[in-house]
Amino acid sequence: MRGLWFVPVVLFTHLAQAELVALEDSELSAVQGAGIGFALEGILFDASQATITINDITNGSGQNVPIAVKEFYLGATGSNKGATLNPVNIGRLSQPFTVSLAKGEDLRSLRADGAFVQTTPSNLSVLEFAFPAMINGAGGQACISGFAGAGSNCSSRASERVDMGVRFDFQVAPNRIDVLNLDVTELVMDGSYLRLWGDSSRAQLVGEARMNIFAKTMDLMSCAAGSANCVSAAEQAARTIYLTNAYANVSLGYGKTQPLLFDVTSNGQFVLELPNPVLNPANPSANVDTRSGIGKARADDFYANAPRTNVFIGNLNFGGTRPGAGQAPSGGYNFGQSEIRGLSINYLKVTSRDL
Amino acid sequence: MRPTLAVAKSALALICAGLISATAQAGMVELADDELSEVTGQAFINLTTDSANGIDFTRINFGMDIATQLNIKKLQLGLYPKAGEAANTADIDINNFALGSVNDATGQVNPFLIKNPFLELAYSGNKVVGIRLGFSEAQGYLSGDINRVTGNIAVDLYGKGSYLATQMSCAWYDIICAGAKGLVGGAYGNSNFSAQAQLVNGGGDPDPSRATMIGMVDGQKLSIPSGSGFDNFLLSLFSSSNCELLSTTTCFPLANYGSFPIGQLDANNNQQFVSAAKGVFLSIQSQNVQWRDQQDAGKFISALAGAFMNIPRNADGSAAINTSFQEAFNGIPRQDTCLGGADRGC
Repeated sequence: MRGLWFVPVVLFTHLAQAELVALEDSELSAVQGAGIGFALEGILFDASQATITINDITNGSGQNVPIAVKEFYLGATGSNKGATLNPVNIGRLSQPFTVSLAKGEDLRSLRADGAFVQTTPSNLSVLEFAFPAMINGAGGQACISGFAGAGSNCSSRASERVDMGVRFDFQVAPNRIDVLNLDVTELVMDGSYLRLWGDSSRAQLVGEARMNIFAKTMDLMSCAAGSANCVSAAEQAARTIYLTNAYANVSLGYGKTQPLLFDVTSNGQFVLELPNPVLNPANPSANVDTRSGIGKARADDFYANAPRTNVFIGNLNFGGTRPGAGQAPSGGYNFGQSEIRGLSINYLKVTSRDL
Repeated sequence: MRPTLAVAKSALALICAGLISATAQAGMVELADDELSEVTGQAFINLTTDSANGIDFTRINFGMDIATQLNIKKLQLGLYPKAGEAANTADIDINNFALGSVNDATGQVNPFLIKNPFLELAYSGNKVVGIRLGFSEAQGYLSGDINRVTGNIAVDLYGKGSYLATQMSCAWYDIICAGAKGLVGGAYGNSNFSAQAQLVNGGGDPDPSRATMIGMVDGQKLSIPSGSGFDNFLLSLFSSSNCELLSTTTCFPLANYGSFPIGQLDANNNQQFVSAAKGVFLSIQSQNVQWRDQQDAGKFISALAGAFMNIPRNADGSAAINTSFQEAFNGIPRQDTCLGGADRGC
């Protein structure tokens, strides 16, 4: 309904042009749209009969290595690797996906200790694309069912999680195709967001991003069902890598002092940078003593509040068979638990180059 | 602000932007199809294949230069029961892991440099049996409170005879030891001694799995690279045994090493690297896998089943990690990796 407001506004703009006055930066920064919230109801993707081919990734000799993307599906949990697809509702009106233009001081991120903190700079308009939010306290759901280690801060309920899968065929040589067939169950991405704004001191678009992935299981099979040595359940199980109770919180940027910078060089290479959070962005080569004063205050704030990256795999198994849905496999090679916890990046600069 | 007013303001902002952009339209020139067809993406990713020892490999190569300084509170890979290993231990277990270092006085970082990383899968038939994350070149400090490491870590120990002699503790009746100590500290006092070290157990045996010590394996000898044949003949008479050589300890707890320099450090500046280490990788495999050596295509690195870290010797035979005897005996102090007050765990 709200979208209808745009129709009369646009129709009358040619009459009203004379009255338009450019907004000052300070006025523009006060603009705060109510944003758009939406939930995806009755979603079901079944592209099992479709193939998308990605070309122009080459081998060492410059020859094309086509990548066929097949068997994509997304539906309600309990799909049995896409065999029984049913629609799913993702998000709900009280916890929707959102696209909003908000003031930096009004946005929050969930810290590891459960506190919600401001990470974006104040007095700026920030464009945010966000998944359903994280919740701390009443109403919070286990992010991975039956696994307390992933926390109870997700807003999506069990019925609002998805099963999804996709298969990639890499034609790596004329007579050789490498297959990677991924099936994920009970996937939820609550708390993920991308925030963008203009940084006047750097004169460029900057941002911060967080991608949360929680999954009960991820199965990666390296053969195409029905192909040679990939027919029986035992053959397929032996060629599957199983992840159980796995999650990743990938955080890039802390808007207050370490925004994520994107750039492209004059020769077409991309540059991605997380600048040193204690330095003055207008003069990054100037030294800042971090043992006291503003330098120490910036460092302390960064380590206390900047979102961190964590990667956790409750169980990793090469081969073997799951005794039941969502259970760690028996047999095969059991790598047990692995984790990268509390990753904090003081500085990062990635520049692409031609191979 | 009422929602309707907010929407109207947003619409106004959009219209203003549209009007402003109209003034700039004259500068835009449409590309013709033939011009557009000349535009190609930059080739910073490619896929390559390899086969050796009955295993097929597919590698995704990333053309990238990465400079970073980061901290990880806990890095633990492969926590599972393993035959012959202590309970509740992991293949790789490092607390307060860090790459690069910082200078608190200036607020500047000394980044860890990575060139052309890659991700490689090892296939036995159509079964994935290994995955490795590798780096064509790596350079900088790697720090951590190391609990356990599985892998191949090549270390060169070096130092003056005058220092080495101070670590030799000879029994009063051991005439050979006393004579050697006199020579090492006297005639060879200014000579540069060298020895190769690797992951070992407390008995001086190679121990690439969940190791807690690094040192000279049994039979390993000291040498003087710039010495005469006679010098090295003399040294060849003595070899390390049970983590001891001429009453000198030759194996050291990994926990003593706060930071490892990956690559060659400038002899006069411990923050300045003069060359990168090649062939560094981290892998996980369900069987022993022979990964091709990055710096010598004719060689392979044998990675044990489980998680595995490889910090190998360079093509010229020098180790990726060079440390003095003094540092080996006393430990290498950790580089500061946290801005502000703490030096770790931030």
